[in-house]
Amino acid sequence: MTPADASAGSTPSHRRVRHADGLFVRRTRGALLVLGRGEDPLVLRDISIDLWDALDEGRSVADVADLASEGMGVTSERAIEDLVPFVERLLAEGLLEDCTSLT
Amino acid sequence: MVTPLDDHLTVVAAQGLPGARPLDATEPLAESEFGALLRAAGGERIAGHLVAAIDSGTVPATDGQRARAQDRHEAAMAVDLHLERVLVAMSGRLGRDGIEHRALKGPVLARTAYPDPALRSFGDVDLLVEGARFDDAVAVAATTSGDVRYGEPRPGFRSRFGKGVCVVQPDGWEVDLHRVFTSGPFGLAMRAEDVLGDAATVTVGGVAVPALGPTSRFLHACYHAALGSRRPRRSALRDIAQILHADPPDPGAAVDVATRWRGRAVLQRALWLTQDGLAAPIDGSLVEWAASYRPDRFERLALAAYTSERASYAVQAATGIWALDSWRDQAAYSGALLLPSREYLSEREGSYLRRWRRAVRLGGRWGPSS
Repeated sequence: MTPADASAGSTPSHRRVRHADGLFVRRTRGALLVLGRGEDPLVLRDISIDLWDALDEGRSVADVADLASEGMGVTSERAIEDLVPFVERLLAEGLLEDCTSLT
Repeated sequence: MVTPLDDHLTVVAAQGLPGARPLDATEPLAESEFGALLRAAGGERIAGHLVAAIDSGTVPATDGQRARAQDRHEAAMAVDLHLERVLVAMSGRLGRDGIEHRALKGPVLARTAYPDPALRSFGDVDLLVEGARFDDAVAVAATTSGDVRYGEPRPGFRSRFGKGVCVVQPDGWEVDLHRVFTSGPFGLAMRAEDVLGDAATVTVGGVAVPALGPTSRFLHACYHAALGSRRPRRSALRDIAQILHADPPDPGAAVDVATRWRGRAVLQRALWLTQDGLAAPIDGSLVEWAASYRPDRFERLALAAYTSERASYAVQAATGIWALDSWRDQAAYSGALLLPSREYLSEREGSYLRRWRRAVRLGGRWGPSS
């Protein structure tokens, strides 16, 4: 999924994802560490933690982009552009799974 | 003598426990003092408690000091996550081979005793394995080119008398496979069936991992704190206080099992060390029991093999024979230690004569009649 795809209307941005099963996670005040397939855990902070939680609730990428646009004070389109690579990285790391049952 | 750093660690390790006292300071520590505390807290595996202590005001700190503590805690948590991945993989491999095992210490206590797993950091993976399949478990753990540390004096020794082995994985993570909780007399007096019969399950990374049950968890925490080293880590003492506070065992069952293992003095020592090493009171019937218990002769002598100035693994091995009841076990045990394989010998004393001289010295110094 590219940013262009995301805004193309066939709605990869409406794709729903959720945490992959069996994640190794530690949550502390100010940071969320998640170990995926790689050697280094992903360290999420601030609004990234809210986005992670929203994705886990099964909200679509577009919905989460709205949340990000509010949090970061940018347009929804810009938020999607920023969010898609983030989601793609999480998917590649095995930290998120497509959740087709919710689509 | 209690140094200021010792006192600071005592406060940090007790953070969040009922009745815990704060640091005797209203201003943040000087940078050098805080740096020493930060390094020590990392070594004692209580960096998470340090962050919590700062956030609660128990330890006054500047924003910069708080950020450094958070960095240290995140580094510790990153290690924890890797180790949990190793634990799940190893437990799965043992399970597929039908080898009964139990996860120990950090990853288990983090989930059973602590309100947040992030508060309990650890440094390796520990699994207790049934003695009858111990050598199979070592083979499984070493399958991926793991390097097995600690050889055995004779084939079959470690599965019958040993504490366990450390298998270093190719990526450097260590997996300790235990047959019992400790080496020496207290390990040899343990009854592994009590441990395997007291089972629980914890979910790690979405996978159910077999773990010690409540009585064994508590006793293992006590054995680790009382016998693991002459000065236990604060995290080991916090484990005991945390279990007593949040996941208390049946006191009668704990003393009964310790009695069968001839280890009531271990339980007592662990409780006393916890009382002294944390800035929070511990109480309850086990603490009352410990105040009045008088160790028997075996316990006094065995405890010295772990806690005296001259304590060492060799002393524990030499004194282990006291814990063996049957003459067959005694003969097999002493025979293996006095006449080990040449390979084992070459890694240690080098010759049988030197080994026997050493055994005589240890026997003279530590014998039950001394």
